[in-house]
Amino acid sequence: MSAMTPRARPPIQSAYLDHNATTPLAATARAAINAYLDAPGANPSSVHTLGRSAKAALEAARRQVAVALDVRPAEVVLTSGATEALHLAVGGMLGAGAHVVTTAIEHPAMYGALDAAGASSVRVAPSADGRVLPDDIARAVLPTTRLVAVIGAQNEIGTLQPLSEIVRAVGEIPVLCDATQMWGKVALRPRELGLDAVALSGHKVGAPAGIGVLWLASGRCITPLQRGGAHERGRRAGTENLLGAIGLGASVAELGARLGSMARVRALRDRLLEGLRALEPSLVVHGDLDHTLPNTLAFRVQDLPADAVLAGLDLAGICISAGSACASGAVEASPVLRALGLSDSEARRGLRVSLGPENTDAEVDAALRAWPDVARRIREAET
Amino acid sequence: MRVVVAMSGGVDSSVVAGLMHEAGHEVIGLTMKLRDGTAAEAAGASGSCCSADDTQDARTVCDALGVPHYVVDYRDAFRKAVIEPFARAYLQGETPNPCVLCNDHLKFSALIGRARALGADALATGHYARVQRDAVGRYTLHTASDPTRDQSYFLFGLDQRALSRVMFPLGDMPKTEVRAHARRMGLEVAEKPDSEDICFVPDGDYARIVEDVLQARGESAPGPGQIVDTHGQVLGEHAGVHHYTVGQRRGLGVARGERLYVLQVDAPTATVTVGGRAELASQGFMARDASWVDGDAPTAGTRCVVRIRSRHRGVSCLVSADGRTLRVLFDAPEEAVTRGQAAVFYVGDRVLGGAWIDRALSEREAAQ
Repeated sequence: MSAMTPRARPPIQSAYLDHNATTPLAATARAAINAYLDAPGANPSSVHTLGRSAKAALEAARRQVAVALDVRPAEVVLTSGATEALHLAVGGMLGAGAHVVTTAIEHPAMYGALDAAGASSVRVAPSADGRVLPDDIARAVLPTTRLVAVIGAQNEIGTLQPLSEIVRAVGEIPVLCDATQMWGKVALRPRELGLDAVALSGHKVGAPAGIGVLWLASGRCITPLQRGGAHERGRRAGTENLLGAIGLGASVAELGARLGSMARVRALRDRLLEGLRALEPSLVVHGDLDHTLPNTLAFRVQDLPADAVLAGLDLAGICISAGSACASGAVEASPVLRALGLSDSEARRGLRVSLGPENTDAEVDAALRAWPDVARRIREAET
Repeated sequence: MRVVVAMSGGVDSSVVAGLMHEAGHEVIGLTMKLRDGTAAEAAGASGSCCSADDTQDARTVCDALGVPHYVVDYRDAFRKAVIEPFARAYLQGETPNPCVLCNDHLKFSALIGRARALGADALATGHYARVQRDAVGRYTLHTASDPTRDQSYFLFGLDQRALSRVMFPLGDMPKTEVRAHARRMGLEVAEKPDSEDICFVPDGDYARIVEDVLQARGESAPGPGQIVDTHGQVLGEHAGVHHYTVGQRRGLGVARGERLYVLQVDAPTATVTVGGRAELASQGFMARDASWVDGDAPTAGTRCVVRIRSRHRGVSCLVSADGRTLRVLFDAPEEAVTRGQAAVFYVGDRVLGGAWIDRALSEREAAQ
C-alpha cells in the first residue's frame, strides 16, 4: 500500500460556499456530542438509571427543537432527516391514490415521498421568478384533494414561497411544508404560518446528517411507516439516534445567533454578486433576490457550463454547487431551472453559491480572485 | 504537469491515473457519463441518472490517490454522435463501429476541451497505442507493443492537434504488467474483469439497441424481408436487416448444401444476400471520409497494410485517394468487406489514417 500514499493532496479549501448542501458541524453541537460520547451509553427505552438518563437527554434535545420552532415538544417527531420526515408525513397522512397538490419545484425527496405513498399529485408551475402563486395552488385543488405539499425555500435557487398565503388560499386542506432550507436562514414558526406538518433536516443547521424532524400540528395523527416499537409516541419505531438528537438540540439552541448572523451573510452574498457582475456582465440571477434566502445566490453566466465552472473552482479550492447533481456526480440540467422556463442549455449553466455564518470576507475575495482564470480557461478551451 | 486522466472505472485507466500520479504529475480524474443507468436507478427518483458503479470505482481510485475526480455528462452528445448514428447505420445495412465515433466526437474532442478548461496540459487514457514524434516534429501514431492489446485501429481519427495533447502510458505495456501495477498500487479494481463488448451493448444484442433507439424516436424497426442467394433465388425470410452483418453465418435460418454466409445487406429492398465462402471474397473496396494522422493523404498507389475490422489481422493493399474518397485494392482477395466498418491503414507499426468502408469492389471494377 505504500505506493498509494497520497502525494498530490487536493488543494486546501479556501472557501466553502455550499451551505445549502450541508453546514459545517456547529461548535456547540460538537461539544454536546463529545460530552455525551464520554458518558455511559444506554438505550433510552431501558428502565434502569442509565436508560432514564438517556431518555432525559433525548427529551431535552426534543425540547430544544420545540423551543426553536415555537411548538410543543410532543409535536416533534425525530427522524433520520427531511427525506424520511416527508415520507412519514405523506405516507402517514394519506391513503393510496389520495389527491395531492404540490409544486414543480420540490426537492426530489418530496416527489419520492408522494410516489412511495401512491399519491396522485398535480405539480403547480412557478412563475419565472421562482415563486408559486397561491391562487394557482388554490385552482389546482379538487374536492378530493387531501394534502397540499410545498417547499418553503427552494433548495437550488433559494426562492421563498408565500407560505401563509398558500395556507389561506387552500382553506381547510392540510399543508405540508418541506422547510429544510428555511431553517436557520429565515424565521420559521410553523404554527404562525398555519402549517399542518413541516419536514426539517439537522445538517442544514449545524447538526450532523442523520437526524431530522417531522413537526406535526397537535391533533394531526399519522400511521407510522416503521413499526415495532412505541418510540416517538408510536409514530416512528426504532431506537433513537441519540447522538444526532443531542447535536441537533445543541445546534438549534443557538438558532437565534444563527439567524442573527444572516444580515452579515446577506451582505457577503451581495458583495459576491456585485463582484461577479463586474467580472461577468452577462450574469443572470435565478429567482427574485427580494424573495430569496439571504445566503443563497443562484445564477448563470453566458458560455460557462456549470460542471466546468464547478470543477475549475474546486481545483482552486472554492466549493460551490450546480443546480442539480446526481449520485454519480454528473451535473444535469436542473428540473427546477427548467420549471422556471429556462432552456436545457441555460439550465446546464445554473450555479449555486450558498453561504453560512462561518464564511468570511476573505472567502468571498478568494472566490472572486479564482473566478477570472477559471472562466477564461473554459472559454478558451470549450467555445 | 497537470494531466487529466479519462477514467472509465476499469483497470487500465485506473493504472494510468496511478502511474501518472507516481510520475509526479498533478492528476485530475474525469469520468464520462454516457448513458442513463439501469431501470432500478431510473426508478429511484425524478432526474435520476446515475450508474454509480463504474463511476464510483473511478472515484475510489482517485480518492486512494488523493486526487480530484469529476464526472462530465455527455449523455446527449453520446446519443447524438454515437448511439443514433449506430442505429441509423444498421438501418442502412451497414455494420457500424461506435467506438471510433466515441473517440472522435467525445474522448478526443470534447474531453480534451474539458481537460484544457481545467488547465491541464494533456489528456491521458488507457488506450493501448503509442504516440511518437518524427524528425520534423510531427506526431505519429503507432500500434501498441503488445499486439494482442493493440487499440490503434480505434484511434485513426486523431489528428496532429489531438495527438499533441494525448498520452497513452500503457502503449508499451502488456496487459499482465498493467494488472501487476494495479496490484502493486493496491487499486481496488486490480481484478476487475476487462470489458470486451461495446459499452452500450453489454449483452451483444445489437438489434435490440437499434429497436430501442427507433422506438424512442417513434419509428418502427425494419420489417422482414427475403434471404436470397446470388442468383436471386429466395431461400427464406428474415426478421429485419438490422439483424445481419456481412460475413455472419449464425442465425440465418436457411440451409443449402454448403455453409452459408451473409454477403450483402441491402436496406432499401430489405434483402439479405447469402452465399458460400468463396463468394465472400472481394478484390478491394471504396471508402469515404478518409482522415490522415499527418493531415495529408498518402501519394497515389501507396502500398500499405489495411485492417478492415477491429480484429482483422491486416492485409497488404494499394490505396489511391481522391479527396476524402479512397479506392483500395487488396494484393489478394479478402473476405467479408463490410459496409460501415472502418478501414485503417498502416506502414509497419505506424498508423497512416483510415476511412469508412462504402462498398466492396466487383471484380470488373477492381480490374479497371
